[in-house]
This record gives sequence, structure tokens and C-alpha cells, in this order.
Amino acid sequence: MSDDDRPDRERTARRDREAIDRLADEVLPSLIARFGTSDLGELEVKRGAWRIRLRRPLDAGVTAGGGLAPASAGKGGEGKRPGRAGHVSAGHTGSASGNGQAAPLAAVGPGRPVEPQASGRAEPARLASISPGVGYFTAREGIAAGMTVRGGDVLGHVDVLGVRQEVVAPADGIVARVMAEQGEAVEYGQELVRLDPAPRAEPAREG
Amino acid sequence: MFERILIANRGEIALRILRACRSLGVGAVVAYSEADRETRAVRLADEAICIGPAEAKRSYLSAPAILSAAIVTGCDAVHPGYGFLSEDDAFAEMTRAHGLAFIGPPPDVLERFASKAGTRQLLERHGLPIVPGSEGMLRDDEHALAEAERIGFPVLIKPSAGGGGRGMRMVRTPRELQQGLPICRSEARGAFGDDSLYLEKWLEENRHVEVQVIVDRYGNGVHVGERDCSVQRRHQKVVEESPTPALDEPARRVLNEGAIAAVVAAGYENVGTLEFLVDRDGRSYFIEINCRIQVEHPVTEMVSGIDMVAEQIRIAAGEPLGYSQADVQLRGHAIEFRINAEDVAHDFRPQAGTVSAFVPPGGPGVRMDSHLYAGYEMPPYYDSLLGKLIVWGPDRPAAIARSKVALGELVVEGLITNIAFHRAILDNPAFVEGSFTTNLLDRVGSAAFVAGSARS
Repeated sequence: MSDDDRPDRERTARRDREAIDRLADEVLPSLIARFGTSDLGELEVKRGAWRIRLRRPLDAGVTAGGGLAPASAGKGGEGKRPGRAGHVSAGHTGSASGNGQAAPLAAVGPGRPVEPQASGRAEPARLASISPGVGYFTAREGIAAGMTVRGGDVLGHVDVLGVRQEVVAPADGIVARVMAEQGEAVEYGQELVRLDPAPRAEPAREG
Repeated sequence: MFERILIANRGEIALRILRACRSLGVGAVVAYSEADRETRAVRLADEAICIGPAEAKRSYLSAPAILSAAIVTGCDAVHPGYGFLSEDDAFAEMTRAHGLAFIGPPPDVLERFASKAGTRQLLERHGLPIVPGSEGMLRDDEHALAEAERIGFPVLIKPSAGGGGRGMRMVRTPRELQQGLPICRSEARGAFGDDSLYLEKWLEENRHVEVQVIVDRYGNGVHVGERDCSVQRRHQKVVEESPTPALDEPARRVLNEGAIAAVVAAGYENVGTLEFLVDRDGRSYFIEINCRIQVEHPVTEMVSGIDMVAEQIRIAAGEPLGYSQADVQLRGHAIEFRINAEDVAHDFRPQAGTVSAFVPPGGPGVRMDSHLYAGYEMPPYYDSLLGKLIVWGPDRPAAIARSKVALGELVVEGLITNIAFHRAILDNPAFVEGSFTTNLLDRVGSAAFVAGSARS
């Protein structure tokens, strides 16, 4: 039987998964937040035998989370299920960046370089802040169409059982529309503030 | 009765709960993770709400996400299904603290039955036999030997702390016992920082038999017969049936009546299952209680006609049971097959992918509980259960014959499944004569089992 090497493989796989989970929980959120507000095109950090690389898409800044965060796909115009998201593209690592500022990301394991995966969406991504959780939405005071925001700016919050979770701008842009009313019940991944890309003053940066 | 129930689970059980809500005329909201957006319960639901990403820790296991979803959608109760948070007394308590009903036992009941050792002691006091073991912890080798002789070899050396097989060893002779004790002691010390050991009788060729009970808030309880879950692979149930072929009618009555009397006396509430090991001589030993709906509940529904999920909901809403033991009529024989996306040829490796075709079987007594549809994408994040095929017949041979027909009709394409494995089980002489034991599949090796069945 081919059972013999299986426990080893399982152990390795489990260790890898745990390592990825830890990175996703402890390192990624702050990294993504910092990257989102920086001018960098690409950022790579090493943690033990693991490398995490964040890369801004070529179409710099104009993304709704680069395939990690939900993209709005709509579902027959049902108002009660807004902001239908696409599938998470990259397992644990991918799903760890709930606030949706990350560029396509690949965790590179020990000795096994993996190319960043394509996000699988051909159409130009829409730029939007999405809900970090299920609860009641409150927009930050003064947020209105036409307002210029920077990536990383807090545009409001969602109250999840009394705990405020920040709604963050994924990139620089101009507020096109606030998609939810003050105090409205929103679900995880729902589009809350739609942005138009900021006019490009400088050439797009690349890694 | 409740107005709206939040269904905090996924897959086939989310669909099952949705059906129960609808037949009771209660509203339902399906809570789902991003990976389950296209699942059947979500599509069928009047309302569904995304509670988090694929990762269960941040969706189906996140109490704040689930309770927040229940509140914002105007629900007054939460059904946890099985697995995830279904037996978590802290979650049940938190649910109540937010003014919502938890569909299951109340938090204090869950807490009372949370410890396995404590539950065994509690129910032993109320008359249930438990697996014989040493009195307290082993003081020294001499004490161990005396206790082992009293219980009778073979015995299992078990550490007081922890679990998962560490520091555990089955010994057949006094000599093996003497050799085993220091090993277990050091393993237990290393793994749990506590080297206290005790002994338990080793039940060699045992069967897994469990009793379904329903108890209302007012102390009215009935049993709904037993299920035999002896077809297991590495402690995972594969096939379940009712009644058990291991016991005759009088023995089953003793088992079932003892179980319901004990849990009612111990103050249990709602739907629950008491698990027993039954040895070669037909003696049963209580091992643990499951305070939730179980995967295999349809087996009981098929022989009793009682909707177990609806009963759970009714009792959680404070309704009285409304019928007595004499009203519970068990008829015929039912068998359930867990249809999993797993590759039997490669150590039952779980599969993920897209279901290209799904055709459930039909005919008298055939029921398929499944969330599948053609085009469904099976996510890799959760368990590999694709659905359950449950077949009823007026007696066991009839149920087996119908099962063969049904398994022959069932089509799931696009994923590797264990359907052929189930057909092999139905051809196995031990299964046909009703003498399957819990260690049979693992002892023979599942691959050899399939090969053996294919030849015959």
C-alpha cells in the first residue's frame, strides 16, 4: 500500500497550513494595511522559511482587492443579497486579507516557489471598500460623492456585535457613491463605498 | 414558536434544517461563508447572509459573526446543525445573552454533559453500565496488576489527561502490563505533563450502537430506538442502520429504556444521542452523549416517521413533547450511506472540484439528503460529505436489496466518490449477516476490503 509516506506528507501539509494560517493572522493584515498606504509597487518580507510578497497590479491602484477581496458580481438584483462576491482565489492565505487591499499575493513556501495566481477575472475590477464583517454600517462623517480619499483611509465602520470593524479604502480614489445607508445591516464582503480611480498625476509604479 | 431561525451551518444539514423550518411555517435565514455562496441551501433560502470568508474560524466557527447575522436579519433563534459550534456551551450561553434561542440543549445542560468522564459518572449513577475500569488512578505497578486481574485482560492503559491515543496502550498479559506502564507513564508525562494512568477494559470485537432520545423542558422523554454505526473507518462512521442487527428485541428494549430513563433522570433536554459499545456477548457500555442532531438522524426518521429536526426546534421553543413512548412506533429497517467525495484507492483522500452530473436515485423507501446539483463546485475547506442516501424496507434483507438498486442508480460525476465502496460493503458477508464490528474495516484494510468484495 502507498500508505507509508502519507502520515509524513500529512504532517508536512499540516505544518505548512499552520504556518500559513499564522502568517495570515499575525503578519498579513498589518502588512497589507501598510502596503496599501505606501507608494511601493511590490513588497516582500521573509519570516523564517516563508516569504510573503505583495504586488500591486500593473493597473496600479485600480482594483477591488486584486482577486482576494470579493468582487461584486450581482445576483438577479436581489436587494437583500447585495455585493455577491466571487470565490476566494487563494485558500487560507487569500481569505486572510478580509479588508481587501492586497494585490495578488502568493505565499512562497520553503524551496517551492509558486507563481502568483491570476485572479481569474478578466473584466476591469471595480474599486470599492467592502464590508469587513456582518453587522450595522456607519459611514464616517463627511464621506460623500466627489471626495478624494487615500488608500488606507477609514471610510466608516461596521458594528459586529458591538465591536467596530473598520471599512478601509483599498486605494487612492474619489468617492463615487456610498452604497449603504447609515445604520443599514450589511453582510461580509458587501460593497459599501464605491470609488473612482484617482486621476493619475504620476506614472504608474511597478515592482 | 419562533418567527425566524438563523441556520448557522452548511452543506446538506443547512438544507435539511431549511426544509424543517419551512414545513413548520417558520422563517429561515441561511448564514454562509464566501466559499458557500452557490450552495443549494443559499439558493433555495428566502434570505441568506454572508458571514465571513471560507475559513471556518472566521465564519461558521465565529460566534460574533453568527450572532450579529442573526440580529441584523431579525432572527429569534439560531440552529447550529452538527459540528462547528453545535455543542459549544459558551456559544449557547452567548446566544442566550443576546436574546436569541439556541436550538439544542440549554447552556447549563450542555455544560453538565460537556465532560466525557463526568457524563459517564453521572449516567452510571442513573443506572447505565459503563466500560469497567480501575478504581481511580493507578498507585503503582502492584495496584495496576491487581486492578487488571479484577477487570480481566485485555485492558487498555489510559492517561488521565489528554487524548488522541498518546500514552494509551492495550495489553493482554501481566507481563505486557508491566512493560507498558513505564512507557505510558513517560508518554503521558511528555505529552500532558501528568503521568497518572488508569485502566479500562478492552472490548475487542465491539459494535457501536447509539440510542436516539427526545426530552422536552418538562421532563417528558421518549427514545426513538437505536442505530447501529459499526461500519467505521478510523472512527469515522460510513454506514448506519436501525434497528441494530447486534441485539435481539428484548436486549434492544433494555438498552433503549435504560438510556431514556437515565437521561431524563439526569436532566437532559432536547434531542440527543447516547453512544454505547456493545461487546461480543451483547453487553452494552455507555461511552458518551451527543447533545445535537447527528448526521445519521434520517435513519431514525425513516423507521419512526418523526421529524427529528422539527422536534429539536419545537422543544427549544418550549413546546411540550405531546406524545408518549407508546406513540412511538418503529417500523421496518433503514440504512444510511454517507456519500463522500473521497478517493478510496488513495487512502480515502478528500476530493474537491466541480460536480458535472448528479442524479439521485428513487423508488419506494429511498431518500437522498444532498446539497448537490450539476455544476456545484465542492470547496476544499470543509468536510467531504456530498450527501446521504437513506433506504427503508419492511425488513433488513428488503432494505439491503433496495439499497443495492439505489446505489446502482446514484450518479455523481466530476468527483471521485465512495459510492463503489458502499456497494462493496453491501456484498460483504459480515455486513449481510449483521456481524460487522467497528474494527473490521481497519483490520482488513479498506483497499483489501474493496478488492475482496470485487472478487466475490
